[in-house]
Amino acid sequence: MEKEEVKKMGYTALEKMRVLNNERYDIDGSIIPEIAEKMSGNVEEQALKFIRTACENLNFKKFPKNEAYPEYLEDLDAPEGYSVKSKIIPYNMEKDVDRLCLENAIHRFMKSGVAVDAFDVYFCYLEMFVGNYKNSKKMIEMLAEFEQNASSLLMKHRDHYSHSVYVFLLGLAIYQNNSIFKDEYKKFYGLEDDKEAAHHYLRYWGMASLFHDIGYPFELPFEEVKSYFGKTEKNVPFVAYKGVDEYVKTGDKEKLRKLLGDEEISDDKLTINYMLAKNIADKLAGDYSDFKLYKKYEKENEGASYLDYLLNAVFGRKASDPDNFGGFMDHAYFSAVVLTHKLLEVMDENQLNPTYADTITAIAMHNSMYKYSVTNVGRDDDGNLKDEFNAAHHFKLESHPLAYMLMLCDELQCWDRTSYGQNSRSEYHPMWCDLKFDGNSIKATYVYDKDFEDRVKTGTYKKMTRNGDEKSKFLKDIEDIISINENGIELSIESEIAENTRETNLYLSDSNFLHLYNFAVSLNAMYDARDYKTHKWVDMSDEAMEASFENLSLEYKLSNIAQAKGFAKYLDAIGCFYTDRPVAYELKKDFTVEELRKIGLMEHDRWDDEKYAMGWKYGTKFVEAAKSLGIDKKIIREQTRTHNDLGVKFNQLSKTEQNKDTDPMNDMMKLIEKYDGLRVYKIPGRTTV
Amino acid sequence: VLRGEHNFMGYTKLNNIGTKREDYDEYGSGLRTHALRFIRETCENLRFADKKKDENYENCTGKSIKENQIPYNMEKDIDRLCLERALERFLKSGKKEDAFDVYFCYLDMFVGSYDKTRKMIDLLSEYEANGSRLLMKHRDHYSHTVYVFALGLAIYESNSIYRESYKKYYRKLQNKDDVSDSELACHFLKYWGFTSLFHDIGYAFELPFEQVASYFEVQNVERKDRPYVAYHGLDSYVAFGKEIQRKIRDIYHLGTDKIIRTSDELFAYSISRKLSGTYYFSEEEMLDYLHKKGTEPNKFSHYMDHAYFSATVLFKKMFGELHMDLNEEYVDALTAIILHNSLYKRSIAFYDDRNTNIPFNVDLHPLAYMLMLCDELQCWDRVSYGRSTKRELHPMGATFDLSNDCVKVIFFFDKKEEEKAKEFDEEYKKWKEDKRGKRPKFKEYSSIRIDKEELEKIQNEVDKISGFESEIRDIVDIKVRPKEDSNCIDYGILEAEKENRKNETSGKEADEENSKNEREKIELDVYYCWAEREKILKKSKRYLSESNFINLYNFAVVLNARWELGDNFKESDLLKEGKMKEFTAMFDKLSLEYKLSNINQAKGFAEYMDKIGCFYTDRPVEFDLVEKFEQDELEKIAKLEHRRWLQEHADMGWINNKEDLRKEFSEKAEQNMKAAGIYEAAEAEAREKIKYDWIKKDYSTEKDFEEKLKDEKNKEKYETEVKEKTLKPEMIKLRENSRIHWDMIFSDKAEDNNQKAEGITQADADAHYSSNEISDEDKEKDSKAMECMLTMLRVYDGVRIYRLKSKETES
Repeated sequence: MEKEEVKKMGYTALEKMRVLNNERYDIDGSIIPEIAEKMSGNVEEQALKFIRTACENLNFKKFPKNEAYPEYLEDLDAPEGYSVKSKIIPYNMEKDVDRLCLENAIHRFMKSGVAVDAFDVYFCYLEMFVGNYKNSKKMIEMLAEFEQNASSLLMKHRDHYSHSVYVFLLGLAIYQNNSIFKDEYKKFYGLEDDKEAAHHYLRYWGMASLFHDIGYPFELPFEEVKSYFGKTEKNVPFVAYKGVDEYVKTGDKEKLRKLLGDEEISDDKLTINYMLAKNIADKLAGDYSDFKLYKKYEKENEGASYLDYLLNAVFGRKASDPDNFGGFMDHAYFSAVVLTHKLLEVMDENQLNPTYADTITAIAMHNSMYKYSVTNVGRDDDGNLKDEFNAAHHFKLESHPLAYMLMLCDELQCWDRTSYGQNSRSEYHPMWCDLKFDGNSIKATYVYDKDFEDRVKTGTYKKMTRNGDEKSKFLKDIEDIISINENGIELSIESEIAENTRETNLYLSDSNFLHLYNFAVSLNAMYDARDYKTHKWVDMSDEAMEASFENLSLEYKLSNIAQAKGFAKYLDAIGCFYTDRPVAYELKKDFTVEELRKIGLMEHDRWDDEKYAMGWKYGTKFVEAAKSLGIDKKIIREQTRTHNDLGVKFNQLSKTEQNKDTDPMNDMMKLIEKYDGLRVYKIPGRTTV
Repeated sequence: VLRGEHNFMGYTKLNNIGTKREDYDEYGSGLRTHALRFIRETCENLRFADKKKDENYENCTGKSIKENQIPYNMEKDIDRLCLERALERFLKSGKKEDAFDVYFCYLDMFVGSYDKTRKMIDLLSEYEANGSRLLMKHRDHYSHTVYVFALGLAIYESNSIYRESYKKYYRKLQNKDDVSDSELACHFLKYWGFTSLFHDIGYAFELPFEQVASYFEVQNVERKDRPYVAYHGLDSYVAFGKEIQRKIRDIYHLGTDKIIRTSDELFAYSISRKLSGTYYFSEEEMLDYLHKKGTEPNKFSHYMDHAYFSATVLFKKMFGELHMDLNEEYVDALTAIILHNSLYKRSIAFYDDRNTNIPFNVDLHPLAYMLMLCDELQCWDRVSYGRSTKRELHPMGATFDLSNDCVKVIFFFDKKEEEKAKEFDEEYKKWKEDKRGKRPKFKEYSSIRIDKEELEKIQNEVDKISGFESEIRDIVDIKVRPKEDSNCIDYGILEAEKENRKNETSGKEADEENSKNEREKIELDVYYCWAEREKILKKSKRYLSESNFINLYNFAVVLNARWELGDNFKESDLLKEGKMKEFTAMFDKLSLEYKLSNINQAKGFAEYMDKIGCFYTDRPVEFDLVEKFEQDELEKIAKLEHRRWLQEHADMGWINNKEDLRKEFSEKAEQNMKAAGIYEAAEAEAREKIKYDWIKKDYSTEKDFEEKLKDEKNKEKYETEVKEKTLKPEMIKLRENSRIHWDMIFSDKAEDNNQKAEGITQADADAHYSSNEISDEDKEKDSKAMECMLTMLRVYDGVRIYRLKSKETES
């Protein structure tokens, strides 16, 4: 297929609008950008291909055919879509722009791999599929926060925030290429149409992968106390949870019932634990009811079903009795419970269905629950299986495709994970990985940083080292968990050592995520309410600021976030940085005119790049067109996606427009202190401008 | 041998002009003066062994750079000087890196093994710096603890009421009336140190609980409605073996009808013995509270009490693992710790109920009294970690006047924050109009400041005090001086007063004068003042580089090994298992002074990096990576390290007061060795060693070596090296005994040496470094150690060093 065709095929509403704009205003705007060039590798390429081609028409509404407008576009005199304001572009055009946002967010993340770029992927997903980032932001921000802060106290711990985004992308790339998986997924959910299946997969796999580790804030306190005593001290106190029984009972019962497909069950029995146990028992009871722990439970509790076992002996005790689970607290259980609570809170009854329950149980099983409570995975020092039951019970794709994919990708994704734990920091882990697909075989090549070659006897590298023709421990571990290299899907693992050439764009300034969203909301409000001639702006309440932000499309929300993120880079360029540590460097209170000019230049460049990446073009015709129609010029500007400042040099912009680039940066200085207690300092010895 | 001629009170075994310090505080009667004077003068002869008092040069058992090098009691005096200097440094800077030294000194002096206890306190700092950012409310407890320690020492030193109560209590306990004041001061230092320095180590257990609570609270959900952390496995953890059970039997003279089997039971027994009469509760009730502390936080308003864990973990560590000798004083220290937070306030005194509350009297339990008082008072200069705490207004500094048996404190708030306070005052004013809703709070400002209008309305004179004072008065039995007006003091007036006081009698004489005023109760008087941050916090710099605190000790251990092993040290050893054990054993043989010196060398690295435009971090930032230092950078680092070394030695009283000192020491060493009949053997050994070194260096043979010696110059060089090597150990012993060092800046005037203790400038150090007085070998020591730090940071912390100025940014 020709590139042009791929482009048009991917974003049909955008293309239809382009044709229409030509006809109506003689404006040839809105080009559909190429799939990002300079891609990081095959995972990115395949994931983006999946989003662009397989997910065409994602989230579209069907509008009746109209003579004036092509299929899928509503009456343009009363559009329903959001852009810089609400209801100024066609609904499906907004959805195409949203999807393009996700594409770009993925490209940015794969380029840098840093957590602030992972943030954008989460943000896009939540806005596109859950409806509002604000409602669930705490859940994922807390994961990043907890890891950044608390996990350096542990002996072994690596990042789970960027990791989750990598897992998400791996899953997309595999789906795009692996027909065995794709067919089984379609069969499992009764999906015939490829496009419909891809949309379905993106929604549910997105949730399973992006949220599978959000329960870590509950595992970390447990591990902190464990690390406090170390391995040598015996009979020491450990963390257990109370109040979980009550917690799993709360929540809207009707909504919870929807997750079970409206199963008839009394409210007192209907708990989150029941939902988890029922969903899994329905899928696995047939294959796994000979497992010794269930048998033991059955013996002790006459007539107890497999569901009873999962409900009472597994989920009922996970949090309160970690001693019974090998002395581990399972974050996956908490991920599942917390996510269920969140879904019950933010989603309407009619949005919820049993597939969401599948995503939740995929999450619940992905860590130790499947490995040790459903079967018994593990080998002794000589490489022999600890339990023969495991030899015949590798997790089957057809049992639960989402769970299968999550277990596979979670195991595969071990590269580029910031090491937080005291031991993890000095181990050898891969910095990169790329997958090659050939039919239904996957070849994963892991790349290790040459700078740390002296660590080859540690970490993941050691696990990937093969002894002669034998498979590596890394691969054997995966084969012990899921059915692979035996069901048509072939997996092979390679490793190599190379120079690290990746740019992270990380600067001295280091903040947490909690307020990135708040910064964006404030920046938008200030943008809205400022007089750029006098630099003053009208004070707004938090609610008004939120409301103003809510009226933006995903594209504009992300733009505000990107502006807030750019602050660290701009500070670096003028020889400054921010921190909440009381360092004794020169405190920066205001920017000088020269500094603001430099910042303005960079901000304008960022804005240019962002617009081009989103397919915008330079153009001024929209002003005249709006004038002749007597409507707000922004309507035509947003529909044609043309802008009169695009590509214009900063110093050629009007003073008012220049102020739009510089004023927010003075605001940021105040915002970071207000929200994060951060202050800006000069970098010693660095010339400022 | 070579002793200084001046004789100062305090360090009777040092008698060295360099250790002299005049008043420490600008006010003469403040925290620093009293705390340091207590260590220096009141604790004279601390840890001395009588029998070893008269150890002589030839036969001594004290450690210095090696074992058995100086008299035993001299070592103890140096240890105490180390503690004094460490506390002095900390009170000047307030930095946690300096707090570390105080902990280190205390543990080395009174517990004996930092290595085995380090995790307990290092982890407190780590947990706070990392984990507590997740909480809603949390402030530093690591530096706080050292401030509490210092405050307690200062109050003991200055306050006759407290001192008398303590002395009476422990004379009675020891059943001896003739225990001297000096002995009791040393007693206080030991047990108060134990109480204060470890009272918050249990935060490591409160933090996980609070993290989970905050997880929900950030989402505006109340903690009581959500899952919470409860501890399991405590029963076996608190259980005693027979050895401890019997020890406790002996301490309390118990019969078989009362066997104490757990630390919970021990604490309940001890607390009820002291307090049940006054507060009316049974031992069983107390035991029930303690049982539930860790396992049922829901019974304690959904809070986990770190104090319970501080005492429990401390007991287990010190007496269960390290087998320290348990006595009643240690149990007192532990119960003081367990009481200091919510147990006393909410389960014993129920202090919220003013009708029934009985403030804690000092005679009931002097250590617990002191801990509660100091813990409440110490609210300044604490790093805010919690999300809400970061936005609160806490004092940045404090100044004390401890004369007249009164604790008068002025808290300093940052003038830059005054706007925030004014906003709060406005809000408060509005609230006062109709008093609707909750009384506004702006911690700690709102509790310290007194509202003038409200003050006028108060009928009862004794209640004309701030909320902060009132809270303390509810907890401990203390008299608070009522205020007639606002308790805000103008900084200008304070400065003027300071000038006036400089001309008045200050120091101990003034205190002795004041102490003649008899009072019944300890008094408290609190004020506040707005001041410029720069005028109050004269802190030394904090740098970009920040590494893991946990490895500071490891760095020090390796730096010492590097120094001791010289060319035999291999950086690859750092990766070898077992090597660290070997290095630690070498480190343990050093005196406290030398251990600290290694630690301070490791700490200096962040500053040196800053000075050469570099920094280290574990984040993969976009700066140029430093693979190795350039020659000019190494020289700069070496000079900086040399200044640090000179200052450290000047602070510890080292001097260089003789011209041609090396020659004098060399002659004396030769005389000593010949007199002892060990010279010849040492010389023969040195000859062989140097011969071997020469051969090894050139990859030559013994025959080549013989040939080489035929050259006169080579022969002369060889003989010089042999002599140096032969005499070196004896010269070092002479040096350590005299505390006169040939590498110090020379001056035979006492005033100059005292000035050095005030501060050696970098220019002085540079000039000294570049002169011929420092050998190339010694210069190399300074720079090589820093190269070694590069490897250690990489290996232990996973951090890398970057250059701030890259070529690209420069252009």
